[in-house]
Amino acid sequence: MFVHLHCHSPYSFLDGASSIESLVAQAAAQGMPALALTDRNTIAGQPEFHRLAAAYGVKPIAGAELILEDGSQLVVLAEHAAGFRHLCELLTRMHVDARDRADPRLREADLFERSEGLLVLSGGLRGFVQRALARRAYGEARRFAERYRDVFGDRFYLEWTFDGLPGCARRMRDLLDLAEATGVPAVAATEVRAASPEEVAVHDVLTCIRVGCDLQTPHPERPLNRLGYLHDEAEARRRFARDPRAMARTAEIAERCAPVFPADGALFPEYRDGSGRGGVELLEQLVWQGARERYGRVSLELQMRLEHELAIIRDLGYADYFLVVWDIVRYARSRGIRCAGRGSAADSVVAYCLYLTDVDALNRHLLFERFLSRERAERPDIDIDFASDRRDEVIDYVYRRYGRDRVARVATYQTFRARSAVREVGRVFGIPDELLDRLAKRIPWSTHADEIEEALERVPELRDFQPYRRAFRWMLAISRQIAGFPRHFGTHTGGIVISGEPLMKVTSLQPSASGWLITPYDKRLLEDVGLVKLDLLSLRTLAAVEGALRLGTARAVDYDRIPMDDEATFASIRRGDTIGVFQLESPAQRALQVRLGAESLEDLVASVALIRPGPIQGNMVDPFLARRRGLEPVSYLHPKLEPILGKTYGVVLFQEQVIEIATAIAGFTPGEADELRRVMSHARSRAEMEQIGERFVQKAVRQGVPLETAQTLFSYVRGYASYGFCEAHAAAFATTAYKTAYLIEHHPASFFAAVLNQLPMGYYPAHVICAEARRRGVRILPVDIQESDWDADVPEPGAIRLGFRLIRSFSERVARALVEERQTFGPFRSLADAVMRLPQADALHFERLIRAGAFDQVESRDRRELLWQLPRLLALRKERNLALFDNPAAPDPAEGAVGLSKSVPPMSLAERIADEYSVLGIGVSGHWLSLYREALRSEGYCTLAEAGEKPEGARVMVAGLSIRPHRPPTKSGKTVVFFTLEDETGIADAVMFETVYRREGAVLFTPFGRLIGLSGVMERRGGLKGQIRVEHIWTLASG
Amino acid sequence: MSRLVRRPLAVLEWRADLPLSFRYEGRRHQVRWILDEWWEMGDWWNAGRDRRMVRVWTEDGACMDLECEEGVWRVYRIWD
Repeated sequence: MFVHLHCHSPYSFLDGASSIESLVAQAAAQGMPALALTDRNTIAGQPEFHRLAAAYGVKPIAGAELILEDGSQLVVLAEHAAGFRHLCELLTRMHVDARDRADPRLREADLFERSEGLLVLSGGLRGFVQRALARRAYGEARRFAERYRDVFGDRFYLEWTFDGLPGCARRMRDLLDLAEATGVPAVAATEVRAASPEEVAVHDVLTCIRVGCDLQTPHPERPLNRLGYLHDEAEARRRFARDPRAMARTAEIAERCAPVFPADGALFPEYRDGSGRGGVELLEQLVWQGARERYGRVSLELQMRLEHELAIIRDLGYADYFLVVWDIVRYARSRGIRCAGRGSAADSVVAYCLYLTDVDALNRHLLFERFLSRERAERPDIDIDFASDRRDEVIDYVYRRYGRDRVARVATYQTFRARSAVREVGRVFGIPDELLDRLAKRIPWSTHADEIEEALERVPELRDFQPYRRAFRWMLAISRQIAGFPRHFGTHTGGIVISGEPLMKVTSLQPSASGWLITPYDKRLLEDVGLVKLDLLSLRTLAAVEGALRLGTARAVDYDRIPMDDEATFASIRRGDTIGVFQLESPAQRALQVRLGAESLEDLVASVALIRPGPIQGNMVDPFLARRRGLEPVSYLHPKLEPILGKTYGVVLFQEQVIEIATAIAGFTPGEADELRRVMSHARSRAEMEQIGERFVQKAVRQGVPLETAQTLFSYVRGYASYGFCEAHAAAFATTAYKTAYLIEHHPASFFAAVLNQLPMGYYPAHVICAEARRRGVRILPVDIQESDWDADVPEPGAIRLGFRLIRSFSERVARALVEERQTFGPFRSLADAVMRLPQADALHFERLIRAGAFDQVESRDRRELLWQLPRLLALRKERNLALFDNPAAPDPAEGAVGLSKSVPPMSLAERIADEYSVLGIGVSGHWLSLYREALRSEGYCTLAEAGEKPEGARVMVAGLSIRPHRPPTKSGKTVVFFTLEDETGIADAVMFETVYRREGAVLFTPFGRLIGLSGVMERRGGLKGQIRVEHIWTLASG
Repeated sequence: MSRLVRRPLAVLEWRADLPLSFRYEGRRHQVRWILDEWWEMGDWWNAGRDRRMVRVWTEDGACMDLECEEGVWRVYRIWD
């Protein structure tokens, strides 16, 4: 019997070439009873490993390869839960104390202190023992072995490896001699980096990436042979024939190791308020109190619903979970931190009554079982959005409330995507960086590493790379194999775990770049180890709302009491004037609004759910619109569907409807119906889908539904598969969408200024936000050394003063110092004055201020002249500082600086605009296109505003800056490109279909696609605002 | 110092699966000791093949690295 005890997965970051599933599947296929996962300095892969091991019937052994201070390695295996806790503590100590975050080291004293429950293997080729034996330093090897033997007793083993490297036979012989001399047992081991010999090539490439060399460069870290794979027992017998007892010990060790994760799972804390109350009793009291506040009076329907929800919450033991979230939200509200629940929690009336969400699930008839059901083993998941600028205050509170040893942020792993794979793998194969860079930039952003070959076939802008196919073949093959491997470790945007017991029972912790302690487990697998995740998300829209309410006319708005039926707001939405509106600003959404003619919040809820890959691919948008507008009759396949699909005109739009259909038509229990939803929304296997489809049809027929109808109905449900949007979530988003639309309609300066302060957010960059603000009559005032603050402001009704934060790479510290200086000692008289008074600002800051036009009001001289003068002024400042050091009464050299002026030609308008775009991201002196308008007119181009006036079917030729070209999925699978054009008169949306895209459209996705000309046809598709269907497109940038 | 030769040899006698004696460039060499043995995977990206390497000390005092690639044995290197 042989068990692999030293095995790396991709969580060893570039030192493991096979997925955990490949490793476990290989072990199972070889009939191995157990397998250890020992990634380098991490236990990140353990939850996934344990889950897969259970599925494949292999006993999982938890461990890690730890690097000691001298750079040698040890393998540490957890004998049981207490040992695993020690391993977690050791890893945490290593990561927290690490001088170099990428290279944590273990202090031997720490290991000895926490030796209980740990089995230690001496660590293979890079272990201290084998290193010493390789140097023939037998005494050192012996002293090490004896030291560990004395601490760990029979839990220390000499790792006897057959690595097939030069000197292997001698080292193996010496190690057995050492074992005999010290009485420490030898255990056979292979340092597994790959599931199969073929995948060792992948390990070679990953190693090259890790050590920064190419394949032609020898490096001691690179695998010399293919022996480091997960071989079978027969191969182990060949390798370790000299001492079969060393092989048998692998199985003995596997036998010694017990499960490390708690069997019952629940580590969530019990909630107690200040007076010690908690549990179901406190939850019920809060819910009934909230119900009276939210609804005025508790109707019978409400009472029944709440009792139903509370019974399920009580029975499943989640009262504390609700109370913990309630406490967090209560804290946020008490501090004026804006927040809103999202996701399936909005299906709960209890959540509504606890003020966790703002969606009235009762009156929206939302299904609680979508959120929580007795049949489902899954824990509830409440996601709360907080204003992005204050979310961390909330997380701080959670740390204080529950203790720093019981709260942690959640990890997220960036995996190899096509672009990163091309750059990193391509370099290993010696492909020139310049070529890789060009290729990577043109690969669509969302392409996975295993889709590069397909992209080369399919994407027109990659056509130029076809001749390199042969040179790329290895790069493509290896990229395919590493797709999805973790590449970088980071902090999940809002995930946080709270535990009732110290987290180190089940996880190690390590600091993020920003100092938060993170559990290395992926968020999807936290439940497996008994942890519950809360999503405390940071939403810039809420920060923008909060900011807007502090600016200009919006100060008078009570956000919570915004009328939900404001006609002007709906009229604006119906016109598609929704740039800046949460969730409704993309070109697809704006086009939809024009056709939909929204009249109530319900329409916005549908909008949020409609513009999703599922409904678009399922061709649901047009039928929905036609029925909504009365152009097509609303029909139902079965009378039972009418109450379910009535509000969406017979179209299946929300996940809740799927559940209701399954319940009403097939008699599914809520749990069964939810299983159906999960099979669909998680894109599970075709077999699972067919299995549940069969059950649906059988049960429906038993309920009296004709076979054909049942089958057709299930085909609709299947067609819904990738929608993945629930009504509760859509309703939560729609509410915020409407309120932001209201603020934009009535207080555009306030809201757009706040948006500028939160960038990057939403769909559009600063220049589009400013263009839209201008279109709505708001004046955009430039950055001004005398007037601007760090943030954009609304100094007078209908005007936005741009802030210093828009200036690229401008330091907030410098901006704050500038404002303080101005407020304390008065306005700046000149550039020279500013240079002398702002020692915090360096040349780059002043250069950017000048180029952004911040001195235009205070200086009569041209920007170029100021730039010319700047170095001399900075030199003078330095001289003055030295002089002041020697003589505090020295005259101010700035007084004489005016005489330094040199005559240089002034900046042209084009240069000023170019500078402004480059430094600020917007043009304040004018728009690019206005510079060329005369020439463009002479060639027959019209402005976008003029194009917008043209009738349906009119041909237009326009020019503009292209914004956010993108290729969403379509039903036919053909490419359709949507983008927005901007000129000095506004913006217009354009659509380009497959034929034009393949012929000419690739230019949009190249560096030449920024400034383009196009000709096409105005289309309105039933709405007032049109879009241009592109017939020809060309770049204006190269000329 | 050593010379890379990479020339074929003819195995005359075997011990297990290793050459015990072989003929190279017309001379018979008897292996006295196997000094070392290792495996290499070659330039896999360039159609290179896996090979087994053996360093031998012959009765006549020569130190040679022998390579075996797909069952074919060669003298890879001769040490001075």
